[in-house]
Amino acid sequence: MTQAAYRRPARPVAAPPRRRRRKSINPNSKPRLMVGRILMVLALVLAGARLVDVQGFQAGALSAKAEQQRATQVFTPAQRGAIIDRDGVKLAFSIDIKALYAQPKQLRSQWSDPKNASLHKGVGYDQHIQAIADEMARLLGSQVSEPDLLTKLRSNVNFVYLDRTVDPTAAAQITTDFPEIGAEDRSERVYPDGSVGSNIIGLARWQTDSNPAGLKGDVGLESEMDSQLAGRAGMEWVDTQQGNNQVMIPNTVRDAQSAVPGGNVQLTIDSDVQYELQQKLAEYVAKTGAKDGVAVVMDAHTGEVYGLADDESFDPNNPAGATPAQLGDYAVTTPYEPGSVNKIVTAAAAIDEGLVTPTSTVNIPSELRVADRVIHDDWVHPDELYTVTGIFAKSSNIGADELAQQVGPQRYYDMLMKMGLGQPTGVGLPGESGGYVPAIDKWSGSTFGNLPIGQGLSMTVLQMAGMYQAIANDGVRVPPRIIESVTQPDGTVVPTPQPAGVRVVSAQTAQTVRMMMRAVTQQAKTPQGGTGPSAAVPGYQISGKTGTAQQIDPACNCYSTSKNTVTFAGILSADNPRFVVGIMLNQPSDGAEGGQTAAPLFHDIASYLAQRFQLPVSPTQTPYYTLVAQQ
Amino acid sequence: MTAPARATPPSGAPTPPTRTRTRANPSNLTNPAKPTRSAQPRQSTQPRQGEGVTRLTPTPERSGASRARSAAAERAYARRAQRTQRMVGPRAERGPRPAGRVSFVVLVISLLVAGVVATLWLSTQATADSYKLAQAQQDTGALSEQVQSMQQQVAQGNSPEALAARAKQLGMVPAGDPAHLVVGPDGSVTVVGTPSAATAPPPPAPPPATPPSRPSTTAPANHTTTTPPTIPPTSRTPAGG
Repeated sequence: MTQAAYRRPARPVAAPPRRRRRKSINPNSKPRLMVGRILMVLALVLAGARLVDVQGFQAGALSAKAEQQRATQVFTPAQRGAIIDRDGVKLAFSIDIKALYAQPKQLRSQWSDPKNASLHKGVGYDQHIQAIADEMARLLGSQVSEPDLLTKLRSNVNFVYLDRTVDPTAAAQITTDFPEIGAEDRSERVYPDGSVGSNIIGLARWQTDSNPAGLKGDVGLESEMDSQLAGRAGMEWVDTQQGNNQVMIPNTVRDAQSAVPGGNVQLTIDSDVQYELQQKLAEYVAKTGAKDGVAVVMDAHTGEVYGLADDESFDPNNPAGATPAQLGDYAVTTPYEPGSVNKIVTAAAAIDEGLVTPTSTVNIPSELRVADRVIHDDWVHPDELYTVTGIFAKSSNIGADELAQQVGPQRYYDMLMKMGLGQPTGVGLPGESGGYVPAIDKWSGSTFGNLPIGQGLSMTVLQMAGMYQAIANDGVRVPPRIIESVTQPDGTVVPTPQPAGVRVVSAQTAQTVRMMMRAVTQQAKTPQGGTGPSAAVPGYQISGKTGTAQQIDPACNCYSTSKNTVTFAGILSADNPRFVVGIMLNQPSDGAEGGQTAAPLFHDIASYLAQRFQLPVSPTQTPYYTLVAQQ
Repeated sequence: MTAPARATPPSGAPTPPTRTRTRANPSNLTNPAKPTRSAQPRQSTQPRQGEGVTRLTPTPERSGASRARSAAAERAYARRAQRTQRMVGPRAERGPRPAGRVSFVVLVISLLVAGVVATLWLSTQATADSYKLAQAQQDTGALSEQVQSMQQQVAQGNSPEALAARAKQLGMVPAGDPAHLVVGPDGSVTVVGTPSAATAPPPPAPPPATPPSRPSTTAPANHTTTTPPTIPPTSRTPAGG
């Protein structure tokens, strides 16, 4: 060793110098190498430790943070199902539209930025927004107002919708020409028939407060059937650019669930009948000065509702000005006292029990005392002998009460129940009222004097028509329904099952009552005329019943002498029932034409139905009935 | 002791295992007696190899020995290295290269090139197709928007209100009660009803300026039941119309 150490300095001068010299550097750099090596190992260890830390311990938190930063949830709106009538006519459907928006504050600051000056070619901001407004006004026409657009664009807000319902083609044109205008995907509910059936169908609107934003039912069937109509929005997670969720990174879609469109709801409504019914009812309400009115057209055998009208309706395409009354469906939500239309319960019960026949005669006194109250007829008369047919055709209160007394309270009450009174029909419309029938154990003495003449109980127009439907359908009452079927997105049609019928009276009784009630429209010299000859339709045997009920005067909590509810329910036609029509007018003025009865309106509706459905005329005319046997 | 030798616990006799151990034995690498290895550090024509080995075997004993070599010894080592070079060098180029290997390499390279070209072509096609797809999707979107707007027009034109308005515009009036012709079994024709020309109805009365509002109970979806009050005994009840 010592020798080697001694020889080392001599080496530089030795013969094979270069290699030796280089070799000799190694020992000198050893500490540096060592330090370097240690540093590198340290760095490696540190990096390794950090790696383990990041990949192992913080992995969950960090990846969640990263996910949150780049992942965006994207919703694909589901197409809302259509509402169609019984013939497939679209009553409500959805279309795609765009909502155009601007960010005036940002736009203005970008425009005034000197860096962007060269891009604007010397066009000022005001000129530019004028150009935007000009183009929008040109493409969208009367849908927008130019001054309004300019006001919005000149304002200093962060975000403003310029127009929420823009046709996609026009929107594409505008956003191409002016990229600073943004377009947002939306759906719009279109009601091509306007106010036709709007009380039934209701309204769906774009709701931004729901997640995801979308069309949602607000009123009526749109709200009631929302779960079937809405479908399920599609959803997916996608990575997007930081700060701009519109720029998606390709091939990063995950957890994609495609949108499921909503089902189509088919109604039993016939849009033509519905339109005519609404038109005629509104006209008649206006003519009679009534406060309001409702009417229904129902299939005589199946209980399907062909038309259900309120006199007031709203345009669902422009619901802004609609009043609560217009938005509501008075026909099902608000019951009324029916008046003499209810006498059919007495007629059915008395004949079904075999107590009387249509030709039986009944002595009608000038007045009748029932418990603590005195019943009068609508006209003053001495003691007379009426046929049973005459009692109903002339609508004698005394006669109806006399027959009801023969039936007895319990059997009468049972008949009311079988007729479906006091309970909702389950037609399928929201907010349906079941009306009111006092429970039999709560009846006072006079109750049984009131019920047979249609006072002291209430019903909706659907329930009223339902009673006549039972008579038209040979004694089997089929609860009405308005939803025909729901067609699911996969094409499966789920029909609404026809409700089980309720046997109210025997077929024979139903037929007898139906024939007897034809006398109501009998046109004859006093006293043999019925109360509703104006309901008659030439060529068809009409069976029906008029009604007038006094309304309650809140001032005295008694029945008013001036405010009436005028009703009519009828069958078209008695010999071959096809439709049942129910009408109610609220407080028609006495002086106005038709103010005393709804029969002329029934005539108009029945005449239209006969033409619309080309009903065969009755083979014979209604025979003459003797109403008053002896005066 | 029927178990294989490998499974024998280390407490047994030091069975020399052999291949692995021999290979791993550093003494082989550092053995200065092994000519090739020890010669390499001084092999001027293969400096890298030599350096590598030197690094692997920095045993003081060995470096001390090399430093202690005389010039003659150095020359001897050099000669041996040359010999070795002569023997090893040509050996690498000895035997003619098999012609199959060349063609195999050519085949692989051409496969690679073909693959790269195919990949490029496919991705170019995919990109071009994606442009076509985007365009087609845009067209589909535009067309379906058109369909929607046309369906809307049809539906609106088909609505009873629009039809009634158009019919009125054309001068049509609603028919009143029609007369019917009933053909009897014997061929005789009976006229049911009175035929009359339809006349235009008088213009409908203007609706009341402010229609009286309904009771507040008619709010949408409001479940209302009117409860009639008890009727005063003396009240007169007209019913019937």
